[in-house]
Amino acid sequence: MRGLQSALFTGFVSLLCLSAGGATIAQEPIKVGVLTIRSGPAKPIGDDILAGIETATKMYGRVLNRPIELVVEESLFNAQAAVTKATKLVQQNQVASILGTSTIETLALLSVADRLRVPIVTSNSGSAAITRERCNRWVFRTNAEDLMSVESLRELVEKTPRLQQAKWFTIGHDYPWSRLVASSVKGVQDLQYVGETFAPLDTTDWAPFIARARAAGATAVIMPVTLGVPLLQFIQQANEFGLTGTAVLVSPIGLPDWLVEKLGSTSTNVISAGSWAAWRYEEAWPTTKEFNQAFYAMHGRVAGMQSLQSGSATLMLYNAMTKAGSVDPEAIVEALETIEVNTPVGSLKFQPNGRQALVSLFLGPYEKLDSPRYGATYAQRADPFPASKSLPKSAAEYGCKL
Amino acid sequence: MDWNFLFVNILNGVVYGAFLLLTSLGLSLVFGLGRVVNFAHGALYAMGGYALIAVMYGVGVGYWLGLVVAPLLVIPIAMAIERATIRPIRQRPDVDTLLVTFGLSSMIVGGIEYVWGTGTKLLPPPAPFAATVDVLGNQYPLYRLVAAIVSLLVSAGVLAVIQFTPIGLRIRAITDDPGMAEALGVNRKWLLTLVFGCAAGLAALAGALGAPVFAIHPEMGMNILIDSFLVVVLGGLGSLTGSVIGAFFVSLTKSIGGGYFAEWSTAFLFLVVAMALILRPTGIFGRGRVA
Amino acid sequence: MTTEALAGRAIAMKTEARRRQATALLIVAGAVLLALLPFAGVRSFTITLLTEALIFAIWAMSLDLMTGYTGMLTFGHAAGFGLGGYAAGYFAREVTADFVASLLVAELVILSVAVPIGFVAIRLSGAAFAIVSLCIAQVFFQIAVAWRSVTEGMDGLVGVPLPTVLGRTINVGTEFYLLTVLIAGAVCLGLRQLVISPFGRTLGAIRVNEDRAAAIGINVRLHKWLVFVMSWAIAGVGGTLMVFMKAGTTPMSLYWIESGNVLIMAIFGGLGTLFGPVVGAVSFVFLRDALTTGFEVWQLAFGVVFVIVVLVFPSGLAGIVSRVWMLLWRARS
Repeated sequence: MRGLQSALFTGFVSLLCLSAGGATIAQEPIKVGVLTIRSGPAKPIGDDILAGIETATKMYGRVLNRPIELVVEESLFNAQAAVTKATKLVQQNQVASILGTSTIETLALLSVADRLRVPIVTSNSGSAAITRERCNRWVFRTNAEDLMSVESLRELVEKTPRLQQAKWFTIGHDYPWSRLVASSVKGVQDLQYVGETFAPLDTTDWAPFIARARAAGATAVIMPVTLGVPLLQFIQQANEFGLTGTAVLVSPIGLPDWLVEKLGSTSTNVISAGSWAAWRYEEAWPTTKEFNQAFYAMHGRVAGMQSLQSGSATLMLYNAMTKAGSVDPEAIVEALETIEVNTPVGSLKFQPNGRQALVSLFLGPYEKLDSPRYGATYAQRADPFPASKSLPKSAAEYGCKL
Repeated sequence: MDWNFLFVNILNGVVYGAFLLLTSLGLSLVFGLGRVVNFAHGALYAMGGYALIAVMYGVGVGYWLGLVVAPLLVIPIAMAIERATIRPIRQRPDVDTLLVTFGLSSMIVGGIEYVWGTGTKLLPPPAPFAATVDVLGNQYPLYRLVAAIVSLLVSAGVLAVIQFTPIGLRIRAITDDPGMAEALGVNRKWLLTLVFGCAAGLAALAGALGAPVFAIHPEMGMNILIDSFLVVVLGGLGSLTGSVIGAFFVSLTKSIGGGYFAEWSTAFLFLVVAMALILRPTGIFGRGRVA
Repeated sequence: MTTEALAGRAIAMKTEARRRQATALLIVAGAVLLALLPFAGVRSFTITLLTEALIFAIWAMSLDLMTGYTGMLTFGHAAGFGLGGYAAGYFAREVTADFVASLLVAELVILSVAVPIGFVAIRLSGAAFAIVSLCIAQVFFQIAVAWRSVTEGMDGLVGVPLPTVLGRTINVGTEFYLLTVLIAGAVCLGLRQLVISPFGRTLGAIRVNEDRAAAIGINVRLHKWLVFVMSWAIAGVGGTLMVFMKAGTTPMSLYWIESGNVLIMAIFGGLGTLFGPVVGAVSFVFLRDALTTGFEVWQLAFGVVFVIVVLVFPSGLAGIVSRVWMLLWRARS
């Protein structure tokens, strides 16, 4: 009798514990890792990336009835440190996915993605190889890659007579990306290319390089300069040395909006060769408007390119988790491959059998707004250049074999 | 041969050289006097920039007043640091003061990051000088020229003090022969602290002057620190004349290199310095002291 | 000499010999202890950090050989490490990921560079040598950035596969950790043998006063040259391990900031000691990880600790440990 009683009691208590445990599991947050720039000259970019993820997280709400917990780590602008931090996110924090990486971090993580075994969704990496010859089943990208930008540059030149007749010059930091930009300009037919110069990586004083452009008689200067404060410094110095008076500045992937604000009227001297996102797309797409409003409410400023992109990546991730019905990494990857989501940069889905999102690039000049909106007085007009034109072939044809 | 292009690069080199001279003189003085390799010099440069914006935006004064006040704020702080951390270990091998100043550099940069954050702040040049001038047919920012002239004037002033004043005499005496100088009654310890403070003041002034050109961020002093080390070792440790020549040598190499060799410019600079040192290990005006 | 003095000398020598044996045993014991950690339930990320720390320890020990024991201060020690990483990584990706083969290739490349460069560089001393080392490393950095066809420039070398030993793939995690412990232990023991040998004692003499050493007939140039090359070679071992652990490398591994980091590790831990660099490397890695996670005052905290250690503990952290160790031995005998 006593034995039965104690057995029943134990069973009852166990049942209580289990159900309590079960309820706790449902409340236990889903951890999502954010690995991005938190210091140095590119910090404003990292700020925007993080802000976009936070906004999208708030907008989406709970996933699988669980709150989302963002775990933020900094990559110290160093590929090897990025690998360590990503390992920490996975081993110590057990994150379900990693967001927020830029080219340096994404390339570093590509090599160890098969060890990390979580989906990595980048929204700020340009290097085309990430989703072409070096593609990896775990690494997805929502922003347009550099070779797509080559096509939008071509479109821009075709539509703008002033640029067709200009004498083109490239000034940038010494990244492979900069040389790709230079070669893409050279690859446009009938374009006059008068020279190029690349500066060592920590250059902040552009005087000798601007002098070179002027000596070559440049009237269009394309600037693959490190995004962040260096780009702002470059444009300001170009202004100081009078380059903006004689040449139009072309930004290969667009300007972040905080930079546009700092430039003020000088921003009208800049043309974007295809921005990764533009908040004025809200004039055509409701999801952008929703995001802009949520972003402004949360952060008190307009959503820039990096924020719109990172927000889109975040929404893709959460939608994939919901569709998969779990946070199992393999299930998320499978879901990501097939979903189509309304994001602030348009209706996104990844290339079939590929990892690149079929995303538009946004062309248009920087102009003064009729009336300030979300705190911005200058902004880029957003004419979408669709992926059907910038990425017409299949993933396999681009060298991606998953 | 595009003479104008060469001219512009030389002009850029001279402008940067003026800044480099300010920082290098300070570094050279501190080494010549106390055999202290001051790694914190870059951090003190940064401190100057931040002191400037603290004064300008915190108290609300204009740029030029801020420019005068910023170094004056940094000098006593530097003197206190010297008294607390460097003087006690002067008797130890040179390596130890090198390490302490290295740790101080981290501390100061870290302190700046703590107070002002890790981001970069931009400072516009003061209004009347925010224009461009025509220099032999080239548009050149006026502010850079003005800042360079101020740097050169201050550097000339420092050299004049060293050469022609009683206190300069004492400094030269200690540099030449510390034991003898002390025997003759020169208060070495106090003078070292004072010079350390003034050297910091020079670095801070350079930082404040350079802020509108190079932007303000916690690591802003690191590049000019490395360049200053190249200058001081190239010119000969402890030799002020060497520092003057070294500063313009380095800055012109960097500028002309930037104009003609683009991305290879810094590597070119390092190669040239390495060659020069291999040919003359004591530096251009070194007095046989290499360690 | 009196009998008591002679006896005292004999006892001191015997104690010395026993102490040396004990130090060797200590190294082995330490390595074994480290090797057991993954099986003692230590968290996997701690093992990851320890692996990184031990790789840095190898690098820091090589620096200690040059700077601590021989007195050649260098601001360019990233050169050997980065060069080894690139050579091994490139070979592993293009030819075979066999660990020994990749290491050999890395060492060949390093030797072919360090031997001629060292020959010229060691004619300098003090500040000049330190600055020239910096210049050398920066030139390598620029070559890594510019030689895009091989190094892929700033994008870095990616896709380096896992290493294999005798055909068996070494997975990152416990297996790679054990490999690292083994190599670090071997390097430590090897260096120890070197420094207590007559060769090592000569280095000490050179460190104290080069001219005096030359005056008593030591071939200072030859010794410095050998140390230079050995130091680069051992740094290359670290670089090889690192490139496998991170599956790649970038030109930043050659940058002066990295040279500064390894200098901090060696000095913080204690120059001229055996365990100093190891302690320094472990402290650096763990401190950096703890302080950079959402904590923006890493530099400040680090700087404060550094200054205190230099002021109060001139021989670094290891100085504290060795002082305690010496005290223990004095108490015993």
